[in-house]
Amino acid sequence: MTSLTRNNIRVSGRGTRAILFSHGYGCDQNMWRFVAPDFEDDYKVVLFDHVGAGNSDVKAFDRKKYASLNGYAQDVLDICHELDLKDVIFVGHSVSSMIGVLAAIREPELFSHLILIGPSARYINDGDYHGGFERKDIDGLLEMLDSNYLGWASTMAPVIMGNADRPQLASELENSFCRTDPQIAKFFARVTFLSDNRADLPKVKARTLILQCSRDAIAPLSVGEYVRKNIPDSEMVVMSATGHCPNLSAPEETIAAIKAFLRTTSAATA
Amino acid sequence: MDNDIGAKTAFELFEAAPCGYLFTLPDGTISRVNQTFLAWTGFSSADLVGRKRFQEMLSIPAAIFYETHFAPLLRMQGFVKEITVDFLRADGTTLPALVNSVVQSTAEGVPELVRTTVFDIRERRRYERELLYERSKAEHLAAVVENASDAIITTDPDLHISSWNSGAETLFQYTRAEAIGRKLPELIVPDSDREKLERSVAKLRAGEAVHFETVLINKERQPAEVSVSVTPHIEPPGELVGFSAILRDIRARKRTEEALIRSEQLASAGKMAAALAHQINNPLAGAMNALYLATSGGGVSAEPRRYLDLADGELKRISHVTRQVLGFYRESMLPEKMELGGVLDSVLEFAQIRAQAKHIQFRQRYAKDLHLFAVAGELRQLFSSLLLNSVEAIADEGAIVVRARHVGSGTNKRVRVTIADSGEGIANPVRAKVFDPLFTTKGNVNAGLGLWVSKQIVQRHGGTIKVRSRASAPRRGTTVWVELPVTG
Repeated sequence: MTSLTRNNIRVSGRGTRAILFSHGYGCDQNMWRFVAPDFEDDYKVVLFDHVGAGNSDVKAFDRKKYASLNGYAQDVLDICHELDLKDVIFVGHSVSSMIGVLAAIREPELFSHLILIGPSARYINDGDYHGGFERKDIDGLLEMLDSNYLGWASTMAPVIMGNADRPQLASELENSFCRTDPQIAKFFARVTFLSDNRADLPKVKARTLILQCSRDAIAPLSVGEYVRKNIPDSEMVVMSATGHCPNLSAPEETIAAIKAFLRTTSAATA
Repeated sequence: MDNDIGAKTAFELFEAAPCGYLFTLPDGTISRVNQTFLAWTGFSSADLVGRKRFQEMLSIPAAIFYETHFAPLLRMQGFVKEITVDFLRADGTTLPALVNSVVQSTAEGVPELVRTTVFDIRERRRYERELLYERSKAEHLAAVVENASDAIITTDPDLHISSWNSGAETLFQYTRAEAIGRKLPELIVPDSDREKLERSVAKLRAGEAVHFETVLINKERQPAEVSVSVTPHIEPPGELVGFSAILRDIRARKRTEEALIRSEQLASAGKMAAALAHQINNPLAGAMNALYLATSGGGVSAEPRRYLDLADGELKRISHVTRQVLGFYRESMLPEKMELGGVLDSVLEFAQIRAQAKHIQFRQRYAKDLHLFAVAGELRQLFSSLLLNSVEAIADEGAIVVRARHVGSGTNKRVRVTIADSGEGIANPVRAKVFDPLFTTKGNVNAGLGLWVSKQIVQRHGGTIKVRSRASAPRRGTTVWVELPVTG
């Protein structure tokens, strides 16, 4: 299977250098709608949906492969190979930060920059490490997903999943953005919030920017600070944007921070 | 006056509405909140307005849901509908609620205000929990049915298949897509059994469950021996709505049963042989004594003496055979110190009769004083079984080499016996299965149990057994390694 359809890849832009945007838990490539267009003048912009999200091929969802973030990292590598991307700038939101970290460890020569928006190497508190959550909070989230997907009718699934060529169909449905099969949503929630990638951080070779929001309930400042301390060649920008999705709530500030980072760090190589 | 009522009504519409009502800024900061929401949550307006953000009013799981689903959705489509969240009340308890939000934007499309209505759903949440619980139970049951190794099939009253689990796919080799909608009898009942089927269906229609064993056919038209239980499903008032059938593959069970019967038969045959040998032994001893007396006294001339010697030789052979038979069945089942060379010699001697008929040469290459602690009868059974397998493997002319020596030292000291034949060898797909019970290449159940029993014996002695085989030249043949600890 080609990752083009599996991951619903969309390529745009007039540049040659590739910037790959990887969405986080809970949504799909729509998350980049206010950010990605700003890079089209200078870059080859690649958007995609993780398997199980958006208009990805839900048939490709394999519980064994996607039981760890490595399965998603493999897909990122597949996409880079299939599009023959080199010197990739990887922009990952939320859990995709760690997906990017894993991909960049496995094939370091493929990625020049990692931009991690609201990253967390581990969400659950563990001894001295403060991740922000307890195991019971994640169980509560799974229950919350259950109540919110109660109205998910299996007859609706094919309408949303099977019409990659007619996305307007999906948008006619209420709350249709980012809707996904509840079983997959719960599975991905478990993988996302129960993963522990602390040991992977020191292995990253790429230049890394951590974009940290003020008052982020999912990835608080101390969590972003931990990521910065443990990735060797990294810096952190604390934005005035609040919440966990600055790519939606503060796109200008997000774009400016990414561009500034690329300007200063690419000067030598440009 | 009218205006007063209008203003008052508008005020009440907002403050005393039967739902919570909040205005928030795009970052979530609460800018206005109605009395109903305050009453439900136990906060005062001063606690919230300008001080708290909407997401900070939520339980931790709901806050995660807000950040990952609610907020992105609201920003992208301008509204969210019927989202379930838990609010944290002033006293620390939670308020399960259903929330609708709408974004109000400036003329330039920049969000400036979010209006949110909140509905108390404590009752509904309880009901939902029950529904979810029932659903997860149903899903669990469905998974049990789907993954059962038995075939579980449901049909409508006319026997059109309505569900077909993976057990059915395996047993009958039709995929679900191929099976659903087809008539069950056309798929798996052989034509010869149609009449029997009619009788069963008549019984079922009368509301009776039926159980039987039969032979059905799979997609490849191969027979499948199965046990069948069919239950009719009847809804009031006595209307038949369909059937469910559970079918179990009983080929393996049948084979096991047959093998057990065979081995029982063999065991009783063995006992009988032992009894017979015992009966023969006494008169035999008498006859041999008489012969001894007759020949040792002198006075027998050369001619009859030659015949008597011949008779003595034949009687000695009979005696040897009966001792062998008795040896197998009367030997102690307790481990004892023994010399393996003697055991191997006696086994080889026993197999000699069969080997000679096929022109097979035995070569014994074993060290002296192979002492070990073991159950003699079991070792005899083990090595004669292995040796006879080797004899069987050679069609005509060949050699079997039996080697034995000590390996290892100290507590790990073992005796290694190898039996190598120049027989046909074991082809690759078969090799992995040679130690399975009932596996045989000889169409003979006794042989099928041979290596399995051998393995049991070796394992009981704390040893290991391995088979290496080549089915093609130049080094065709099979070698069996047995290692037994010296200390038992």
